[in-house]
Amino acid sequence: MPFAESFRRGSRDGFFLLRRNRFPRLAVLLSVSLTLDGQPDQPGSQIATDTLKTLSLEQLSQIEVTTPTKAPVKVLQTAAAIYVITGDDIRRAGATSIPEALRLAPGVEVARIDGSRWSIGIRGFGSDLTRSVLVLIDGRTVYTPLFAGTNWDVQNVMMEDVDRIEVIRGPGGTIWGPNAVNGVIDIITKPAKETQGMLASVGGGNEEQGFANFRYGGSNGKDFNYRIYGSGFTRGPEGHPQGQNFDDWRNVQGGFRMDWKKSARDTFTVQGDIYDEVAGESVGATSYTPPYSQTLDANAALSGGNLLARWKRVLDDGDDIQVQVYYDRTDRDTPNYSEIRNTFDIDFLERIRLRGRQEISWGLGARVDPVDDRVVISGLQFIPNKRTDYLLTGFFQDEIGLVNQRLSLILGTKFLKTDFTDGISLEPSARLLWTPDDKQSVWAAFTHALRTPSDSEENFYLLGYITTTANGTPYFARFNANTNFAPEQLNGYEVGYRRLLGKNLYLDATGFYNHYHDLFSEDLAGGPFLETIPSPVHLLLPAQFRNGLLGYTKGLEIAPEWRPKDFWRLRGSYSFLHMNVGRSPNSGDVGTAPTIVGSSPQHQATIQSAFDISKKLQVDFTYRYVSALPGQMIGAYSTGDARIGWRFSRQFELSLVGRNLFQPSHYEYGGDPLGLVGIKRSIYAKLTWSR
Amino acid sequence: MSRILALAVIGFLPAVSVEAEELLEYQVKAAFLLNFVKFVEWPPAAFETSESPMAICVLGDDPFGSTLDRIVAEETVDGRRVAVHRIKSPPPPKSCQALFVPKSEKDVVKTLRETGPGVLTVGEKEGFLHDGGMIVFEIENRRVRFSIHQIAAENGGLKLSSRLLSVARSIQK
Repeated sequence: MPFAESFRRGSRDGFFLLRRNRFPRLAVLLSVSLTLDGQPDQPGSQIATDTLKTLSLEQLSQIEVTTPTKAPVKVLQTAAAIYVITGDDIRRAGATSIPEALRLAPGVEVARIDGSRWSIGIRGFGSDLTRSVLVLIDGRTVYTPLFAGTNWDVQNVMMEDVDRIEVIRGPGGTIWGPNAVNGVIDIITKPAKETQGMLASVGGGNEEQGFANFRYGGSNGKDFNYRIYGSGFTRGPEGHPQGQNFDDWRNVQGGFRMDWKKSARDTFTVQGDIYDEVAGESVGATSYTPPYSQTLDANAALSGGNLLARWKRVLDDGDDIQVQVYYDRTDRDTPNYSEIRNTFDIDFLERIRLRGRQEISWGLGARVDPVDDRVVISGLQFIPNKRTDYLLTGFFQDEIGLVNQRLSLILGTKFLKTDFTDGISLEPSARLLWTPDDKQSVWAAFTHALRTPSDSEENFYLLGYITTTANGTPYFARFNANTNFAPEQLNGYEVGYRRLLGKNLYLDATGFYNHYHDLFSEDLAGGPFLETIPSPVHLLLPAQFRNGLLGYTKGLEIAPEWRPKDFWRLRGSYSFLHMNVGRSPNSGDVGTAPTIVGSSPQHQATIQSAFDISKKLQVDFTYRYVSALPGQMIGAYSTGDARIGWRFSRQFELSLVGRNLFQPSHYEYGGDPLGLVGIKRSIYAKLTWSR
Repeated sequence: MSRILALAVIGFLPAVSVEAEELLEYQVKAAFLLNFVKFVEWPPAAFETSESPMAICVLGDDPFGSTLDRIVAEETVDGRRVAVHRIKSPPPPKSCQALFVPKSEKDVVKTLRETGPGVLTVGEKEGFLHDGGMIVFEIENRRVRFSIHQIAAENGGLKLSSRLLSVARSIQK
């Protein structure tokens, strides 16, 4: 049926123009950089007593006694598939952006589309519009209700400030609510107390053409700490066989954080960021007037900022409450659409410890986003263009210790209401954790999670050009807004096992089965007809985003970590994913399922080696394999990264980083109108000064 | 939503032991303790006799293991041998010159009230200085630092050297 075929192509291209603007997918908890029992990351877990005795007061004050992530140790006790990427891991990987750092986590699919765009999925459904992974930065949700995904190009943080990234695979809907369907990515920066003094870093290379970061942290010597930072980068285009080097990218950003420990009971945090960027884009654009379909290469101007305040109080009986408010402004002026969104959010949380080994948590939250979408091209419109999206949530959870603190049951549910849903939706979960001893744990979970509808389903009109008929009438297909779009639903079943084997080996394995229904589909909504408004007269094939797909995914993730020696750490991961998605009965989907299934790798494997030649010289290697993405016409690939870090004096470190070293360039994902973009081999050098 | 929410939710059983880190942390704290007694001046009345050892007492649950004993072994301060005692309740007068109050101690205020003058009180719990203690260990930038309550020390009849004051993270007066 060539007609449907042309429709598909038309719609897909049309959809890509939306994608070009980064509509991406979203899905918790404690961490580990598991310091395998007895071997902290930092210099010398054991210092000879004789040496200690000879150290001065000043020298004693300089010994690092904890690893960067202390809380993480609880990972073994977490009834969810969590992986923690520490700030140190990021430094040693040489990652210069959050998406690149996420490659370190098992079960996460990171595919770079071009210079400033990534497809980041967890347990399937990866695309640049990834809609079922929830991303937070210091408690601020950065998912946008525009398309229920994340604009990765504006989620920049100074990498030296990152304390850790906690990646939770699997649904976290009960706590996190909308979009925490397939996973949660929680980016946590260091408290101001941990960033005292000065730090500056500069560097550059062939892709990372130049970057500079500066941070200053101070305090009043007692209970008040702060930091300010400024950073910027300019990145060159990736590989373009046709020569359209559109995807260069420049950013300047600054921000601050203040932590005030007013008393043993009250803690206040205020933080904020402001940024301004230019990112080159290439987008397909369709308009009702000639030339109906074109490809635009132009710069997107991206700017915004945020301000967050949090108050935490410990109550007399050890319970605590927390109130958090934030404001976020996102201003995207791109070649095919323009949006200003202001988000206001407030959250309340209380944790109550009861006698009889129970701990109850409950919370309330509200968010409103007034938004203004300006039409840039006539084929891509949000109607009404001025709206206010909102989200109201509540949650309740009870953790019950069952048998002598060895078995615990966690029951809870989220309640939520958005401007896109009718009535109150529930996201219940049940988790069971059994720790037979301190060296191993077994957990299982059932979760029901929702991906709530977004503007791109409910208020969105997207035109695609098919052809011009013999009499000169243009023929379009158009996705019309669907105000009846229902939440996408998941029932997730997971089991996990963690074990410390001896002192040096740690093993983490998780299996899951996710059953989805009411998944997003692209449906024909009738036969072609002549439409007179908007002019000129044109033939229109109506279409709509609907809930016509269902299916399941199943998979396995294994992440061992081995420390053969104090100075050598080896980590690996293997992720297997099988997806089965198809049309539900009566669905008019035009065939999106194969693309969805074919856009996430079935196999992924990584090996990371972190080797300390001496306290001053570190060498790191990473190897990764990603199997083919037939839905994106991408073949399987292997590549690797390497870093040498040399701390040649107390204050200076010089590092040399090579990324994607195995080949001059390789493809990771489709999605640009002009064809695949090769992700290039890149090298950069960086000098860091701190005191 | 905040990450606290997350913390609230999953995995709230007692943390697995962090022995290694604590080992190092308490090695450093033990070394600090030895330094403290070297940089503090006691009135003669704080000791039983001129031969009495310089006694560092650890109250309640001892987080040091054998570390503190190894650190002070064969050490002398002003001609006095340095000794370590483990005690279960606030020390009687002249039995201890320094008292370490671990964070496992529940009622710090009561402990400090019942500890007489002439004892250098060292703690590691937040609010220790506020509760009447003299020196508190703090972890900053993953390092062990300490803050001093100078008035409390002076009220206890102790004189802190300027060197100690200069290394302190903060000094309350």
